[in-house]
Amino acid sequence: MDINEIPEEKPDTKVPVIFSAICGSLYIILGLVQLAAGTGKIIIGPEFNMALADVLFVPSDIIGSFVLLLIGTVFIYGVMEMRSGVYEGISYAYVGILIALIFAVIYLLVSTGNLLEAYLLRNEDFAGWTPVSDLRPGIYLALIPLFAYIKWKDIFDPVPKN
Amino acid sequence: MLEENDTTLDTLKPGEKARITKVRVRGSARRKLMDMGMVAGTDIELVRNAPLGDPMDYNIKGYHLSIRKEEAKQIFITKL
Amino acid sequence: MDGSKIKIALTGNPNVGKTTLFNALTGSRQHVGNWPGVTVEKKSGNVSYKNYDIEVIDLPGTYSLTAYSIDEIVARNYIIEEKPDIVIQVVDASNLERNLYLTTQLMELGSEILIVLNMCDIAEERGDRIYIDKMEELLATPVIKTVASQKKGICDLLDKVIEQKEIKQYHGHEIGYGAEIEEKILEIEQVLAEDETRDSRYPLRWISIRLLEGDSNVREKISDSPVYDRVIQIIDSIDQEEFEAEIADKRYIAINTIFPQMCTRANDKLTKSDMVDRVLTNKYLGIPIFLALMWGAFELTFAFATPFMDMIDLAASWVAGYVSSSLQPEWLASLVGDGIIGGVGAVLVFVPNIFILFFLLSLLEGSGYLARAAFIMDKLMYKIGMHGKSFIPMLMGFGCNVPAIMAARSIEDEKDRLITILVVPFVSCGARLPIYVLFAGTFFGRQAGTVIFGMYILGIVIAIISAKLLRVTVVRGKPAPFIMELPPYRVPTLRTSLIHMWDNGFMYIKKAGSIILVGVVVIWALASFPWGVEYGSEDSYVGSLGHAVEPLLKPLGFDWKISVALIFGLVAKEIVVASMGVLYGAGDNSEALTERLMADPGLNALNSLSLMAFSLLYMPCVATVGVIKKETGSWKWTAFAIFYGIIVAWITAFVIYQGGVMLGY
Repeated sequence: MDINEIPEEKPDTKVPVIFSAICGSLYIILGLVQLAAGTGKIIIGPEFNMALADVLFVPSDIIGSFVLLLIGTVFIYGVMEMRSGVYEGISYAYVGILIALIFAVIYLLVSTGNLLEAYLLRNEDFAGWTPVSDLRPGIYLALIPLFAYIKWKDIFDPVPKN
Repeated sequence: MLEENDTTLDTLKPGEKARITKVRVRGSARRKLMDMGMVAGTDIELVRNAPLGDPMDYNIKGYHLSIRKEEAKQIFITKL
Repeated sequence: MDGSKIKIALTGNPNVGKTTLFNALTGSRQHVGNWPGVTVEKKSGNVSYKNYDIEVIDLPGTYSLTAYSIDEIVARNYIIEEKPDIVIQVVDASNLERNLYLTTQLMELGSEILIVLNMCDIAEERGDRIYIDKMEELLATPVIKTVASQKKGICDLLDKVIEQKEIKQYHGHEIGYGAEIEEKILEIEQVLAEDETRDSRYPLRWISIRLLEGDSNVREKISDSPVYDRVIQIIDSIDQEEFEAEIADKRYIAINTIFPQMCTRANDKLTKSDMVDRVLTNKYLGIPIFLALMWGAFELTFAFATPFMDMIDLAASWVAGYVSSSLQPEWLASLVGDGIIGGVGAVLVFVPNIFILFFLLSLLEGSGYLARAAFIMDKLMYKIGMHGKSFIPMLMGFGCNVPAIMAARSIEDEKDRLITILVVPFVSCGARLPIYVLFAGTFFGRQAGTVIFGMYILGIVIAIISAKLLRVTVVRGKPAPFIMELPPYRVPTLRTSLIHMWDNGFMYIKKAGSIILVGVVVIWALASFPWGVEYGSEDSYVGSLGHAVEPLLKPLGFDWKISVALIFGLVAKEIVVASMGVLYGAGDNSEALTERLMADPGLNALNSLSLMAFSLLYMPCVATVGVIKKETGSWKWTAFAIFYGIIVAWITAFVIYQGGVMLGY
């Protein structure tokens, strides 16, 4: 009761803004690369190859590229709200981190399934599969949100509404 | 008094608060709404619409209750 | 001290952590089934504590004890008729006011109540303060604080249960409804009391209040009473709608007078739950995020399950092979090997999907997102005559219809649920894909992808038309009103999700399994007799059956071979492909089969298109039929699902084939 009667100064959003801007841009850029790799395969055919995609472990998976673009958009949406002075925009940074982590976990589990197929069941379809085959932006990019989540556990704690 | 009664819950905008004056919903939905706390005299706030515009997410008695516009049209309010 | 028995019932609003508390209390010693006559889940378990044997019944979560839903009727009938020693109401500390509404109703039932204050952490995060001593004093019931997810306060609760049982003192508590209503209550009570044969378990005051509120279930209960007519006379003399509102009003007024004394609510704060909601139900981002999450759930249900499915498949074929070669006599080897193990194996391969699916559904439900999914999709679903809650089952149908139909359990309204169950089989499941791949690949070449996509669209269109059609014919009426709590988001407990997964997955194996077994044996017999013929050949009964139904299927462009394959497809639709292999003598060599299909003058692009549409729509596979029977609890609706499917399939295939012929293909 006592604390809440004094109008509380809302925390500064500078750090989340910078973080979201970087994280969001990375997700969007890699999402676009992945989209290009995926559509290229469809339009030009299986021989289509992008050197950039290979270096960045980008699979030609269109649905996956939408997921990356979506996560990026969530972060950028938050940047725009926070920059226009809406403190609640920090929600987008929080949820962006959560969704990025959820998808990383999904990809890792699917990889585990592939691992079982390749090494335990020795399925022909998985001949030549190695754990690196499944490495993708959805997995390695999530290291940044993961780090942020561990480091800033309390930045998202409740603050009074205006 | 009559003017007040003309305002219905579906006209509320996000963030606006109101007090319920009468619940005119019929049938089993009436029972359910009352059980959920939609009784005359209760304060209610529209939090947001669903992404497609309907149903709506209201804050009532400290929790979130969602109903369609169709039912909201039959609930009368006084805006606060 | 000699191991006395105590019977307790857990009750409370949905989403208050009741199931978590139940699991914390009973551990793994619990039984799951259905309440007699209805498909409401019934859970019970035992716990031994300090020489007492405590039986715990988990009642369905309800907001109230009126007759709004089956859940509410089940809960109140149990409390009244079985008279548990103590009724424990689990209360969400962060939502105290509405939770107390149920408390007022429990008090009227005349049961011994104990309140468990759960989820205090969320309330504290928000800055609410609850004064437990004051609460105990004002409600005259013991209040215990627990954090069920961390198993905190469980021993305190059990100690209190034993203490209460020993003291056995009941605090009568009544809410005054004001002179006008009280007068009527008294009047009805007096009339009812004259009936000496009445069921004494039901408190008179409670019956009277319920009658004034227009409770049809209670009205039915006293319909045999000699004083029934006089009671009805009193009820008819009042403005029932006014009374109903007035009674609910008075209950909330009673709560409002005591509530401020036991709880101070903090100023509104932006909680993590609010933050999550702001994004997940955002006007622009809400739907894309929803679709992405559903895609993720799908990917896990099917991609992650694949190795486990392959393992079951390998194991089943190994066992079948071993049995076929070692069992004597030959017919028994064939029955067990080809029939039972082959057939049951074909169904058991879905077990990994089903387990994962239930695990994910439980995570979605426990986190609070399932309610948002319904909230987001309701407008779209309402347009096609369905409820927001039908969306997830429909979507799951693309993977496998069996868990999809089971997922329809989350829909409370009987009609909404029935429609969902009846239209899910039209959603093209994974098992139908091999059929499309074979025929579209063989006859449509480069257009195969478009044709396959078209089949998925056809399934959706038929599902939508069927929903609309059912709404104006056999399941009349509009979808139930959407009145739903959007509970705060929270991290789901792993333990609860695992238990949920195991219970439901096991129920699938047990219930659907028995029906599948029968179906599999029947088909095996048809394919093997008269004894001595080649399995599934033209001379077997199934071959004769194929010839017998050929005239019916001729207008669709099918010969006896396709008819036989379709009959086999009843076990599981992917078997259509396998039996085409057998019938064309190509075994499981897909290239040889493609060549032979092309060479068959009786097959062409047109009738293969008609065949694909027919396979998509005709009666659901045995596993789906089994689960429809289990979930609807009715042979009538199961038969309806089968025949409706066949008719729709026949008409669709007829239109495709004859239309094509007319157009000159």
